[in-house]
Amino acid sequence: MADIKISDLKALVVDDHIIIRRDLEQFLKNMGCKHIDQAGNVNDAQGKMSKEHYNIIFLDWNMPGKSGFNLLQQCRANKTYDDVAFVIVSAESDDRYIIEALKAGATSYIVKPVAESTLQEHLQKVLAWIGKRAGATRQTA
Amino acid sequence: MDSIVSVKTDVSDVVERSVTNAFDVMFRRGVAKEAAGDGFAEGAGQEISSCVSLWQEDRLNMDFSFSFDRDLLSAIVKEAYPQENHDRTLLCEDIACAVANIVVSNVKTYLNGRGFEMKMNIPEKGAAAANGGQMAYLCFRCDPRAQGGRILVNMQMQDRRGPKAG
Amino acid sequence: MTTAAQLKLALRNLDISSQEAIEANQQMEQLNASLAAVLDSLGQAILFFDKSFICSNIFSKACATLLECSPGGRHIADVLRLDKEERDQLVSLLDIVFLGSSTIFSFEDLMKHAPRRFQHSKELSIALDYRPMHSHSGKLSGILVIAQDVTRDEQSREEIRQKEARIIRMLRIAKDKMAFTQYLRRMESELLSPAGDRTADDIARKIHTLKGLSKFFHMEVVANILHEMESVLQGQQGVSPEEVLSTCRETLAELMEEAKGYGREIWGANFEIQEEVLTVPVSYATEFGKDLRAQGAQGIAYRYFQQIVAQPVRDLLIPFETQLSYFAEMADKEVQIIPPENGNVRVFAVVYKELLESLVHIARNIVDHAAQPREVREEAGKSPALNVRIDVAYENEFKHKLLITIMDDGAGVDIGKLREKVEAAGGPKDLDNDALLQKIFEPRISTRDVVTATSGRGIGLDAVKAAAERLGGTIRVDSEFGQGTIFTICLPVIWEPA
Repeated sequence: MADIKISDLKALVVDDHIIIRRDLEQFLKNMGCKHIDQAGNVNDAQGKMSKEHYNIIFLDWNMPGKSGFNLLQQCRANKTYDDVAFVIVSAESDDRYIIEALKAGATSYIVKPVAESTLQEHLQKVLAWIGKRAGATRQTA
Repeated sequence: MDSIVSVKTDVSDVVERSVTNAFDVMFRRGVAKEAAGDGFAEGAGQEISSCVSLWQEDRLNMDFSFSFDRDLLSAIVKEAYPQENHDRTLLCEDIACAVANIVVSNVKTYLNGRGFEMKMNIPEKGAAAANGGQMAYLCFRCDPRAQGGRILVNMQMQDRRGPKAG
Repeated sequence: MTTAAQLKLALRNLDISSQEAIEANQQMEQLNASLAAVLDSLGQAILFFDKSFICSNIFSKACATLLECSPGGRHIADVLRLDKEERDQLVSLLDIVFLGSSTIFSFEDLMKHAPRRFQHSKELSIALDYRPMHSHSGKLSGILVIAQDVTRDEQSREEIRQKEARIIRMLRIAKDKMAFTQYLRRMESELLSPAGDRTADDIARKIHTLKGLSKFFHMEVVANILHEMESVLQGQQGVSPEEVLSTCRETLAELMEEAKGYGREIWGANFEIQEEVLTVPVSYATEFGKDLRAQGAQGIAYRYFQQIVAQPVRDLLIPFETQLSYFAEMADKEVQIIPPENGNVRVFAVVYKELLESLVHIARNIVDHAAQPREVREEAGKSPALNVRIDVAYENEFKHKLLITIMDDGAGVDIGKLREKVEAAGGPKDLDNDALLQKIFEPRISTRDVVTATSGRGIGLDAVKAAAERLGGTIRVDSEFGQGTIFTICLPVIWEPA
């Protein structure tokens, strides 16, 4: 159950706001992440996901076209993504939505606006989660 | 369930807290509330706007318009996103929409906690059209001590329910 | 072994194991009873449920009062009185919590989204808290729910918040009496009077200024009402200003009365908003009068000092009343003060300063000696609180002397003890009662056995006598043991400086 290193992480940031994508990208870079891709909507995201296996995907909920929630549900129904951490990043702070997201399989949930320190805390825990999951899926493989 | 007008002051409080928090966390700038004047006296072209709506069952309506001093957003873009190769104006509009999204989401959560069932749409650039409802203005100034740019929030509230029966 | 023997052995083993089972069961019941007893003793409503979301039969007694039910065997969503939507939400959340590994969130993080408040049928505020229960293997096996009555806490917090707001308001008001009285007067003249021919715009502008002033004085409720009025006057066309004013007049009048209350509390009952008051330093006013005299305007100077510079003695006695109330409160004694009614006797206050300040000793004396326990007073047919009556009057129609009398219906002076003390201190042995009584104005005479922090050293009353005599006056005391005491201070009326 080796912890995965940040420098080995492949991250995808999906949000229709440029500045949110840029902020998350910058925070991840500051933490040592080397591979960060961006997508402005779910279609773009799916395109990128078909070419690359990301370890962590940041998803906004409300976007024009398909919602991030939709994408999350789809992915969780697919075993290929069992070891991928999905982090919902949304302005929605209602309990109802947070619980729904977690129920649909979100690994974590961060409410906008995102402070760098908040992301750092979440990322540490997500890395541990990914490590455990990677170990578990290796065993069942 | 309260009438939408009765929660006007509380909604203003939520907006104030949310705008302050957003500018603090995202752009590390202080924001202070000011007395609402007459909007931007300089006229069109000096501000960047976004709008977003909350509604319930086609009967209750709240349209929010956010107007930001163009110079304020330009300065933020230059400082925070220097290497971004998108059009500067596009980025400013993006900021306007992102802030509107965050602030009005908070208002939605607050109102739904008070017994409403509001839904929110996706923020768009430009100001909202007048809907004939009750208006309320909130005015904020960024970096108050440095006389920074202004942020205007306009709320239009309409309660189209008829007088309570019985 | 034979089959019969085997059977016998088997039966005996069965007996033993069933006996063990019975014992184990009894132990379990005892444990449950102890557990229930422990839960009950904690005073909070405590219950727990497992993965099935059904509450256990072990729960504390307080559930009956705080959660108004008996949770044993019931679904947690029913116990917490959740509607369908809330129930579905809680079940979804608990599924995630019991699953344990699908998110990075800890038990505490996740339970933040669970109901934190219980809807009690009476007006109680019940807070809900959750704790994890783990099995031997470390997995989550159940959740402990703790319900606490936080009504008192919230009320106290609210009370404290209001008290703080009040203090802040009073401090702001107290800083500038003139501004505050002006504000009150403007509110009255602009809003509490009829609109007249003022236009909506005129009034709206005045309201805008008054709104700012209201906020300045932390009169938030008033500011909000004014804000609404302003919006209506500016927003709606053709609205009659009188209509707007009349809807709010009653509420505003009440709020202004409340505001005046603050003024009265700070500056006294004479806080009037009828006319502006000039504040002039005493030295300046005195010098001006002396100037008049020096220039030969004796008559005018005389009237000037008598009518303008001299102050009513009644007002000058207010510090004494305040001190009396304060000492009484500190000593936890009930005192009812009856202030002087009339007595427009006016004096040149500066001259009487020393005497007035020395009255604090009489105040202490009254609280320490005259105040009696309730039962003693009631037995003597007196009212429960000590009555202290202050009077000011001219001695006679010549108005050369004034009398300040401070009368209480308290314990009175124990003349016997006083005589003992005086004789023990080496004083004359054959004094009559009256002369003996006047001895209390001498230093070191006290009928108090224990020296308290405020009184008893025998110092104090002599200071009053000294001050009175320096003014050319006298002081005497009359007392009847068990009935009460009267201090009479006779002073010349002086209303101009030397």
